[in-house]
Amino acid sequence: MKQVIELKVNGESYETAIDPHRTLLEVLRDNLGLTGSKEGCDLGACGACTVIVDGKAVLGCLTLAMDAQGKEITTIEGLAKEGKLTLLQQNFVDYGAIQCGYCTPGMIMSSKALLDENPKPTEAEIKKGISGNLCRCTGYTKIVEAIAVTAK
Amino acid sequence: MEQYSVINKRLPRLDSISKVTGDAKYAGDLTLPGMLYGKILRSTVPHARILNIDTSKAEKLKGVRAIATGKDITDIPHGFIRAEPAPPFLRDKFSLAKEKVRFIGDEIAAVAAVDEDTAMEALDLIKVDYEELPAYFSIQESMAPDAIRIHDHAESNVSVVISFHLGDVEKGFAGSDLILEDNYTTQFILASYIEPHAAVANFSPSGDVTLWLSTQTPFYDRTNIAETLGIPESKVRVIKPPVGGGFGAKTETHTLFTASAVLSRKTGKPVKIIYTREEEFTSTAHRHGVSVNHKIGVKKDGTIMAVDSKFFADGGAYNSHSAISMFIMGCLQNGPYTMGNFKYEGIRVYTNKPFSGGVRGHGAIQPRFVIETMMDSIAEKLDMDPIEIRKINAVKAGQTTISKFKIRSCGHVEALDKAVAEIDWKNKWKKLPDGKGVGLASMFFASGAAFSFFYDNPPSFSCVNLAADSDGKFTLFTGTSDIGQGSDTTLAQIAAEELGVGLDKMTVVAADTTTTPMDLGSYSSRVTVFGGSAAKTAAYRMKMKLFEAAANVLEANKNDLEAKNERIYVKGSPEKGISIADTVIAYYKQKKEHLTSTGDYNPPADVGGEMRLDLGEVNISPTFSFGTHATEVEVDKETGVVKVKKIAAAHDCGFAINPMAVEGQIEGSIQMTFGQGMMEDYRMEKGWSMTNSFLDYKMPAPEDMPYIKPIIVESIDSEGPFGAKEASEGTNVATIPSIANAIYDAVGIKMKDLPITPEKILRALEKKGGKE
Repeated sequence: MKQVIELKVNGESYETAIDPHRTLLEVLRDNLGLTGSKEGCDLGACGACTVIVDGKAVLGCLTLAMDAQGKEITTIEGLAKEGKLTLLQQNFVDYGAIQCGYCTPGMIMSSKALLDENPKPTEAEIKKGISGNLCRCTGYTKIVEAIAVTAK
Repeated sequence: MEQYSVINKRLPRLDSISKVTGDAKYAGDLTLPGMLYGKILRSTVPHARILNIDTSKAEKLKGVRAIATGKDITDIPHGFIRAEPAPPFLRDKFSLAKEKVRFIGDEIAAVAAVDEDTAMEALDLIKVDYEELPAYFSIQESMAPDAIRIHDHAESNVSVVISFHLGDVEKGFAGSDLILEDNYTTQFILASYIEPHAAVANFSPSGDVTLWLSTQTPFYDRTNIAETLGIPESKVRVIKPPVGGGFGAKTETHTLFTASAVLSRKTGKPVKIIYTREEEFTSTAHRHGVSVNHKIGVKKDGTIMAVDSKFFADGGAYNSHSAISMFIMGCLQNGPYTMGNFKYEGIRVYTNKPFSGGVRGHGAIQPRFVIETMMDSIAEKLDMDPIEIRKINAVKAGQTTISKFKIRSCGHVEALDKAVAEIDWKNKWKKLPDGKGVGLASMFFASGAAFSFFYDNPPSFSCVNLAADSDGKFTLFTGTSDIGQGSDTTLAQIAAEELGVGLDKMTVVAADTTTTPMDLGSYSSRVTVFGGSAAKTAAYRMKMKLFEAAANVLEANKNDLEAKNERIYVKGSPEKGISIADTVIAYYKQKKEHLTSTGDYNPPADVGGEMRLDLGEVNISPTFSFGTHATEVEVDKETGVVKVKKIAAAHDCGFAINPMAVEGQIEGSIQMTFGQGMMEDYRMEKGWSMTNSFLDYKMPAPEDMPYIKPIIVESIDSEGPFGAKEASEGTNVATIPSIANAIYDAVGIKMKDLPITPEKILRALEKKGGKE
């Protein structure tokens, strides 16, 4: 039996009818058309679905959409304003931290959550901060560099 | 040295903004009106004859729209090898099983329903009656005298044998002062791109089908899909949207591609299928695990006299790239050293396991692990430095190897010198305290396959079309597939440099079988040399047309003109010029036609030749990359844990079109091979996968990675565009042996079985008696 829920995503309110077992990732992608958050494993092991809920990085595939009601949800689509990238996004571009781009949205959201909480992380703290995000293209070097430069 | 404006620059990828904003739409992100969701029913037994498939209950389930089985496809099997004179058995896989299933995960049926949950529920309602058959999970079991055949055509379950003998190895061994023989094994690994396979297929009432696929090879898919559905290729359009990594495994036409089309045909609705991560593990192409017996004979001075090499590969249930895999495991041993006389036998065996295919570093990773670690053993016995034995045997530019590889440029020795300097070899090798060590290994790799085993007569190997717009911008049409490596940007940089415009003046339209020229796709590290050369030619021809129009305006000789900074001017007089945008308009006025150009690339005459996999004497590529990795490790003798501290990775890519992209390729590919070397292991029990998720299958996370120092070596190749060669698969080939050799320097044990786990280190230390 579907239920109507209200979610606040990137500052906008959305009302949508869902089966109660739907994950936040499914609802963002399938109901709200916000396909920037990716599904890589559906098991909380790759981090491609990472979004920020009330300031904390969470895995969209392990969060029930019902439980995200009344909270501030930020997805990758919510970062750039009127076409202007955030410094973090711009550094991912400029430092070559992107290849296939499939892990990128989750990687940026984890990095953002890290920098919001710890604006001057050490290299070890950066690696720890993104340790839940798998990337198979970059070897992480340029991702860590992009985050470190943003923190400078 | 010539100054370049666009190439040799660290420019961001063209698609980077769409990828940091979540705007990039991958195949799985697409939704069409009325779209249905598909799921695949897979075998739960490793080997069986299918007696009956009862879909009646599933058909009645509310929301189910169609069910497809083997009856809904033609009797033409598919595979990566198709062209004559390939033996017919090389194509041995049906998208949906016809009579038999051959591994747990083999595809039996496909369901389309209004949503994923309904499709999943329907799978449970399909009843399959099996007559179970004996199943074999190792090369030994499959080849046992009493084993039944997994495929009727394959005696002793041998899927393919490739053997060749170059020179005379008996003579070579007879003339050797030292002969070393050893055995090695490597494991199955998975490409493990983060984007699972996805497909959206949309049949129109006119009988045309459009598919959006996460693929490396849209043109191969088009052919396989047309043949599987029994429709002309002209009715199939394959579009490659952004792809979330492929690493070789997305060169397969996996079942979701054909099944989505079959279901769309049956329902008249668009159908989307996305593989789960579990399906990726159980049912997509793996890297071959091999058992190797290897013998090398050398003279006292270290000169290699003869190599006799026997590879047994576990191929799994189907052929896939089989013959190519076995061929290149042999021929890619013939460098970066002169091997004297060379004998190779590669035997690929069917087992009741997921099939093996091509994965990054295809056919090079396994033999390179063997050769480079044996080179160190030989050097030690001859009391030589590992650097010295490599230099003595190194192939040189201008040389043609025993395999008939023409070496046009070779930065191997430069790469070797730079890598060892970076790791401080002089002060570290044999000099670090117990438990610490350094090691090195070299490699070479093809810059694209100069043959197609799929198409008998492709129009060309690569083609690029260019179209000019009146605002001085250019659209580049290419059939090559950017799957994350950044090749669209590479091609655009090459064309922009030639045209004298900035990268911001280039738009790339890529990998759409209807709108872009035919191309073989992205595999064998071919796009920079093949697609890049085509782009350079197309841009040159475009420039000549622009010069003609500009010469009329400037009242100058077109041969005196130069294009730079978005202007065309008389050489030496930049003030006497015209903007490229105005030149395009002048061209329209003068010619009354659109301004377009085409460039094709085919390998030169001394490359390729007769397509004979059994000869082993064929120049497989226009040119070859070279490189050396030097690695420092720390081994904890109590726990067996190896900490790889640093990898200095020097790669001769000919010329770096985009140094940032080359570094990214080096760093990323090392991650994959470091994973294979140290942790990744696809494990099975009785045909069941024990590693079905990223929780079970450990691949390197940020904290696992060593410090990588990429070093770009530029040998300026005579064949590649602006001197460029591949910087893709070759960048990871030396990683594993460099680690293994460093472990030997640290604690004196030879690791010959992958992955090198702490447990294996402890066992080897115990055996050596060196455990303290």
